[in-house]
Amino acid sequence: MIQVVFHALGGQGAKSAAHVLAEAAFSEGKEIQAFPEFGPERRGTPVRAFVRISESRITTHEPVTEPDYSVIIDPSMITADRMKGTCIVNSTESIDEIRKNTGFKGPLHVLDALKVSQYANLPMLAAFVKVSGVVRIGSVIKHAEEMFGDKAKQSIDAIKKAEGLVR
Amino acid sequence: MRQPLTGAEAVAEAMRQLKPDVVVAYPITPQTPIVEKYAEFVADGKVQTEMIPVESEHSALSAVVGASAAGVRAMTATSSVGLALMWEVVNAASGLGLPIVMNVVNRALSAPINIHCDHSDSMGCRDAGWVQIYCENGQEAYDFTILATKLAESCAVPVMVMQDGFITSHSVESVDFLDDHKVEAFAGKYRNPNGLLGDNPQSVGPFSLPNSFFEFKVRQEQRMEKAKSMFLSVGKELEKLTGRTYSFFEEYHLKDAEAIIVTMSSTAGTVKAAVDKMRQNGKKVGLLKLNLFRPFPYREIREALKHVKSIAVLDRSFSFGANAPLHGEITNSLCEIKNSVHGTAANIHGSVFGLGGRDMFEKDVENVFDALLAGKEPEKFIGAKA
Amino acid sequence: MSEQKFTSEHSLCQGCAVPIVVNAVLNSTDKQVVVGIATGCLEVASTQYPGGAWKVPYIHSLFENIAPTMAGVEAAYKALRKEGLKKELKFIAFAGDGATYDIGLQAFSGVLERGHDILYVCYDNEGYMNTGGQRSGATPHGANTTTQPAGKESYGKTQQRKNIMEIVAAHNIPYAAQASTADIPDLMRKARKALEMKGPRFLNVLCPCIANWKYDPKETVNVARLAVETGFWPLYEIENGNYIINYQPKQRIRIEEFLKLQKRFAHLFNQKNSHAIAELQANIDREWERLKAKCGVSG
Repeated sequence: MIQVVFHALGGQGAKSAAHVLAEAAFSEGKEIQAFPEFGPERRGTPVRAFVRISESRITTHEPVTEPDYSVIIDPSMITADRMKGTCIVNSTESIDEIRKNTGFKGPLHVLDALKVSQYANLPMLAAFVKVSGVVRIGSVIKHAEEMFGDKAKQSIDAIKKAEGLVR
Repeated sequence: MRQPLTGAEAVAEAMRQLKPDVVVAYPITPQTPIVEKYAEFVADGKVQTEMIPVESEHSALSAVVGASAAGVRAMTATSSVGLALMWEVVNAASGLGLPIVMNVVNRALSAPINIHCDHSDSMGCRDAGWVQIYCENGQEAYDFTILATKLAESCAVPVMVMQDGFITSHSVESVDFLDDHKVEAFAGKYRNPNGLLGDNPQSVGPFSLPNSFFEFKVRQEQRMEKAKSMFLSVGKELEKLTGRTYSFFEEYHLKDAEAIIVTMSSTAGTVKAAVDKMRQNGKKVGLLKLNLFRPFPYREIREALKHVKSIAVLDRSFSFGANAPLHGEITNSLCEIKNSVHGTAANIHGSVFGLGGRDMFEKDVENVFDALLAGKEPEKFIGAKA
Repeated sequence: MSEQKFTSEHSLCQGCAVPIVVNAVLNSTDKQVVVGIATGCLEVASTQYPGGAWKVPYIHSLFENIAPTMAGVEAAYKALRKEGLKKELKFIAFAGDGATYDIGLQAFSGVLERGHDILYVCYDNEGYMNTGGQRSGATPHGANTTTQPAGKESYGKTQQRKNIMEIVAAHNIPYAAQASTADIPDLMRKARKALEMKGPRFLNVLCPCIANWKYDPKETVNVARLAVETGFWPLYEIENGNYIINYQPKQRIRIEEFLKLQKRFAHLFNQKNSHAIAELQANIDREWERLKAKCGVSG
């Protein structure tokens, strides 16, 4: 079973990213579970969204505490406490700078998501997919298309571009 | 057809397929996505329903009672203090023998105010005469909403179908849906000829003096008793369509278990994962996951647990000043029994966990099992810092 | 003015005017206050344990009952005064439109009818906003909300807004007024006036909601101003039965100007839904004439 956590501020689309990932994995025949962490509804406060992907049935409902992947969508949230497993972060800084600031020594990948799109969540999802290979990018594109309707084209362009830019 | 949906969406889909004539909606976190999804169906013409967006939960259930008394299929959904505000009407609904199905997305009762999961809301009205079904996941919430509708209409008893707030309602998992026409054929159309608008209308809700009231209540109790056996027979019919079985409870590695946990809802899934892990290490542990809480299957529980030495009952609510609800009922089930294998009465321990959305981890479950296997008492308030 | 009574230790959305309203009201008196808050945006965002924005005593109970809850507090005060309590206190309840127009209307009416000494401030953002934008009795005609959505067979809310001021006026209380975040000095003047009176007093304050009205934050001032300039939200007072219009636009701007800034009305600009705009305009015109006529009656 793979466990992924998306970190963002409320309104930045962590939940949507998790949802697209879950749908993509589901369409590839995997068992999935995707859920947000909720405080009372409030824009701009930190939220987390979790995804579990497995070949076999998932019964557990415990929170994800040891994710295999941490995807940090908002640059202000790149802090040591959030960096677990393999980290994919949205930043203009270099990998070395981030390691210096956070003390994180594990596998680390960076994407400057703003270079791709004003909405960081889908580029970051694409980066995660590129790094992890957990699902195919085609599945992600298909579901982003379904989910975002008329914004689909921008979303797909962002995803494709991000794939190429992640370090 | 399998689809990834949240528990709330799964229930809204079941409702759409069941074609209620009237749905009454009032928002409360975390039930709101159910009524929002349903409102979307109505706005897009995907279902023909008179939908009333009322101004309070008391009015919500009042309107559902009115519609049901009129003789049509009527539904609503709520949580927490919304259910508490409806409490007066909850009792009226069962007293009047109305086949209402209400989805309750479990959330803690105030005060203090908390929007997360525990079972204090539905447990708070366990004596009100509604059938109460607790669901482990979105699949069960979907299945049991369909089962509940046929059950309610067969027995003239209202039914509450519970799912854990946020943990199930807002979690996407894959759910297997029946085709629309299969659900329609299973549930049929509900028209009560004795309803207010029927061909042979009866008056509803008279004033009853001491010389008649008791018999009304005895008949109400008899309806509940009938619901217990009907639950199984309606379940058997649904099994023909879904291939899944519907019993009072699920036995998970129970047969040779030395220590078992009894619990309900999403936590049962977490217990299953812990059981799997511990079984791999040779520990003989198991789970009894209860689905039907009211009417309570005392005899069947007794039969299932009579060989077990150590039992931990995990409740997600207090019954302040007394044994927690499920703990109390399990104790009732086993009170006179001398353990058929071990010759002594079982050790039954009650623990409370998860209040106000406090997380429950597989590690916590393993600790409970380890305590039982060591002959010790598990933590009384699991995860509390008190 | 000494220290802040309502601080910034809350999590209300950036750009939300409710904190301004709360402070405007609280700062309109020098007397000690006891505050009541109904469940809703304000309460959830400002009372989170162990912190919170309130530096005055408050009670939060449930969603629908802040009026009778405060009535109980006021009754206790009366009892203590009889016993010799000297300090003078003001009782102020804050509630959203959901709590006031809908689920709490019965209880609110009871408090108005019995004449309790409470200032009740409704921050009206025209829906159940804390829970994600569901419709309330205060939601305008044609608005898209999640429980009465616009869709293929629906244009959103089919009913007109409930006229809470007329409902309140029917109770013959000493003072009721409408105010808006577009004119804070006017709000403060009304709050000051109200707080010097006795008996039940009511302030209905229009508070645009960025998250659920869905307008560009740059347009915050415009949206609030247009609500008044279109006549959608008249600024007026009812003092002992006398109606006073505080601001009468020389020429009321057409309601489209207000609607077009907000995504919750975007669907009304489709041909098939445009009748709703006409209905809304007609209702505004009608209500405005009724209001003007009421001002002609002396008390």
